[in-house]
Amino acid sequence: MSQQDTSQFLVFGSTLAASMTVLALSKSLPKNIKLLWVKPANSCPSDLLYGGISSPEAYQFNLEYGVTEPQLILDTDTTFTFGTHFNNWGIHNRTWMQCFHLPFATTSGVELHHFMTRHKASLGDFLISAQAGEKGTFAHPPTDNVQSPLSRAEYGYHFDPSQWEAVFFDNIDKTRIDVINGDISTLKHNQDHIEYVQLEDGSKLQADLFIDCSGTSSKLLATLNNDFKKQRSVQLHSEIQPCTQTGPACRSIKGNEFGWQSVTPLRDNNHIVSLFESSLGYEQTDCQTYTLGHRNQAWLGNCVGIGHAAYVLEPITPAPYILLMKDIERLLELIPVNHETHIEKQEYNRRFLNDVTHAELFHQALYSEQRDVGYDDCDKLDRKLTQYLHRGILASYDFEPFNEQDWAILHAGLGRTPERYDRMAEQVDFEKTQANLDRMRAGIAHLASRMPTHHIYLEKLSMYLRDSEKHGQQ
Amino acid sequence: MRVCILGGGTAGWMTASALSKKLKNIIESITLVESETISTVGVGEATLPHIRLFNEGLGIDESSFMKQTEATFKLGIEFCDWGRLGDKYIHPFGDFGQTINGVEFYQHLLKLSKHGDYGVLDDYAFGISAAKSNKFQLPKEGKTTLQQSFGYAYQFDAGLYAKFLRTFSETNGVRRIEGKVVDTIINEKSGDVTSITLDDGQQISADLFIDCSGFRGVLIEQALKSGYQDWSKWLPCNRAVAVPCERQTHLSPYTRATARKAGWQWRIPLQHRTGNGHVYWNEFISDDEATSLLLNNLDGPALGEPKQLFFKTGRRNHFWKNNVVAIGLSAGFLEPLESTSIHLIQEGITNLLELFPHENTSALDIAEYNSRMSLQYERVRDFLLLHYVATKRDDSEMWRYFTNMTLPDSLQQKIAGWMHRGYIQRYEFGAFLPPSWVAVMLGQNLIPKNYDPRVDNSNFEHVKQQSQAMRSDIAGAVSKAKTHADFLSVIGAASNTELLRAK
Repeated sequence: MSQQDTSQFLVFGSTLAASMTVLALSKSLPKNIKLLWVKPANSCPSDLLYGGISSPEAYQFNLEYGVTEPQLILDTDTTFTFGTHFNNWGIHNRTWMQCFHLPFATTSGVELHHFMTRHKASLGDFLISAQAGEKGTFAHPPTDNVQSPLSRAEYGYHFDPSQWEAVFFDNIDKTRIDVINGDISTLKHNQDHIEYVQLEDGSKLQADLFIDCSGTSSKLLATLNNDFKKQRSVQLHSEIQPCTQTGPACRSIKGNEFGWQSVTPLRDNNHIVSLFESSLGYEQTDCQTYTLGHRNQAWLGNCVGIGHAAYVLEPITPAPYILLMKDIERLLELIPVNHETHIEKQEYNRRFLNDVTHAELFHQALYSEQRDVGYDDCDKLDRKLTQYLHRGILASYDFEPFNEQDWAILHAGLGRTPERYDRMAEQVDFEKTQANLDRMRAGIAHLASRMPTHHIYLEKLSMYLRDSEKHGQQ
Repeated sequence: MRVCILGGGTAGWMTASALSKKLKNIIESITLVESETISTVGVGEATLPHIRLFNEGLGIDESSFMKQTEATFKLGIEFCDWGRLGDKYIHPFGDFGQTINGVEFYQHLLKLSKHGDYGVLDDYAFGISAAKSNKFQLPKEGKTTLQQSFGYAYQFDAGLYAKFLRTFSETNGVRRIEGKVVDTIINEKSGDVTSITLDDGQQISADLFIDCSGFRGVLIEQALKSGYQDWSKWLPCNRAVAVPCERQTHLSPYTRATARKAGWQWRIPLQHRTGNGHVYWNEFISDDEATSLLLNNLDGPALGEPKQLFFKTGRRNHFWKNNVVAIGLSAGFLEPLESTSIHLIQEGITNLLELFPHENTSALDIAEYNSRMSLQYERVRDFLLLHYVATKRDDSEMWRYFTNMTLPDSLQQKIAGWMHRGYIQRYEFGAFLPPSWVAVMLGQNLIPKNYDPRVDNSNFEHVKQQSQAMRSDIAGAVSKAKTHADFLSVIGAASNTELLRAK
């Protein structure tokens, strides 16, 4: 195909990744590219691996494709999240709130976390999203009052993947796609080029680009080349517990002897996920076993793997969701212009590997004191840890999925205290700074406790949105 | 901690200013050693917008600084004869147009260009349009997003800037010592420099030495043998000749870089004179011919004898070794084609401030500093090299040399992505963002074979209307803006120095 020649893309899967990808493609592809979606009847169980939590970027991503926050709040069990509250984590039984936050305030050009070291203070006390998350309160960060500490908070969502899948499906531009309900039984390929896929009903489908959104089964990509780099195996158990009142605006994760357990508050229930480390040998029933790791190439021949078809990360952070958004963004920026896709493939895989390995660094850092979890030594992580411990430097790489705030909060949460701090901090008067910090801490604690509880906020917001909807209809 | 800065050019006094201001209560003493008998190179007089952050960080008043350094505003660099003889384009500070349906405007322009005359990229950047009309206004004065989406830097007399910062530094407690280094004492056990001996016998001891001694690298190279990564195979120009001349034309808010047969010539307009220089590869042009070429292409009479410079492009193996940090030309040299010399000084200072040693230098600080600076230098190198290889010129030996060059993989990949579909491989840490790459690639006629397919998802008539509206918005605002010279007067930045005239 040359520019503006017709071509056909085929998306395969019944996953959150598939519906998000199809939605984005349906709104972005030019009309000369025809879009087919082969959608198996059953949703893929590996959507459990999103952990039901998104990062703050989800708001903008959704909006770009027509999915609004009111729609998610009114039509699904979605709730807000300021992050994840870790409890009893690691060999030192650490407890902290891994919250979302905009860049920290600076004083005389020095970032807040250096003053935490200097004044032996706890970073979480100065982050409104951490305080509110712990107190169970929530309010939208104001956009018209930058003086409010709340304006520095960021939030994501707790969600049920199958419900979001349905919302994304509703928003797809149906004039741009052909949905074929069915499953792929076989595929014919020549080396890494898929010639066609055959459905269960015997029909054969060809495409210029196959987009594998089949989840961890990676049905298309794995057939071409099984180059999966394994990190370790885990077993996941999932259950839904009804609740009378919506929980706090944060997910909780508690470490235990077999792995960890998370509780994700949805509107009318809590989603409980238990992770069992396979290496510890606990025999579990009703569990799905997953091999964590990633492929070396997410784009092979004429097939691109999106989401869990290309990598499997444990749902301990919003990394799986962040990576999914990055996958889609990367694919859109590299939609082939013709049949020669060498450049697109190379660049897609370069960015893919950077994104996945950088996300894995964050996960690896969570376990850095627990060697038994089986991560390999890594120079990049070594640089991050040693530089932080040495003097609070947040060493970074290009476009990491987790930003400097995420890393600073993680280090502090895990009890990593730098030996030293930025020397420019010494320019600032100690007593005055201490007084400022005391005021700031008290102010944030006060604000967090005065905010409405998450469930009240959601109820009132829903009432307001329904009223607005009614008035809008009138 | 006692700090000794060796060298008092732009690098030395910028470093002294920053350390004396930002670490005032921490550093026990800052001594700067310089010799009036050693002339400074006065690396490029043009800068990047980042310099504003540096000055702001020191609390420097913009108008006062501009007045005292004969500074002008800089909206970009005009490149002449680079892509082909007769071509010209401006590399501005800022973006082009506005995204349409989430796709960068230049991608839409690639399609528009195939369907008629929708102008060139320059028409969609306020900074370029203003520069071409010798106009200037601050971004915040713009009434629309387009009118605000540009950056600016300065063109100044580097000697006066150093003098300005010397006053600043001395006010902040920096001690200046006149003298030349005749000996360096190294601790045999640690390998650290413990002191330097000056020609008058004075011995200056310090815990940390900042080597701003220029190309010679008195401490980092002559004493500590850092070693040098020679990048001549990519950036082979190895000499320059510089001379100021009378300013005769309108005060233009941009630098000019004109490609020549064996190098290129710069022109930097200041308030009182115009700076000029010819960077060349002596393999293909003699020193005399290079000088003559420069003198024959000045705006006005030369204001003195041309000054000759010799260099080898590349960087030290270690920017920081033991207790010596090299900043400026002692750290490396990349030709001043994109005004990166002062920027790299600034990067060095910023990183040093963040990694400033506590009681002793630490291997971890040194490793982090070297890692960051290496990345900066490499990314600037690739961007500079792009100017030489994105060309159809083959009219001289030098241009033919570049035609046959094997590029660094990092640059090869960038060009391949661009040529295939106008794709820019981005990075987060580096001086030049995607619009800069777009400016040079399109400016030098690297026209991609394809554009982003998402462009075809936009209503073409709508895109045409939007592009016309963007051009009108910019043109209208530029017509109302003040001239560069008037703007300088209005904000009190005009030096009112009589224009320098040749004797």
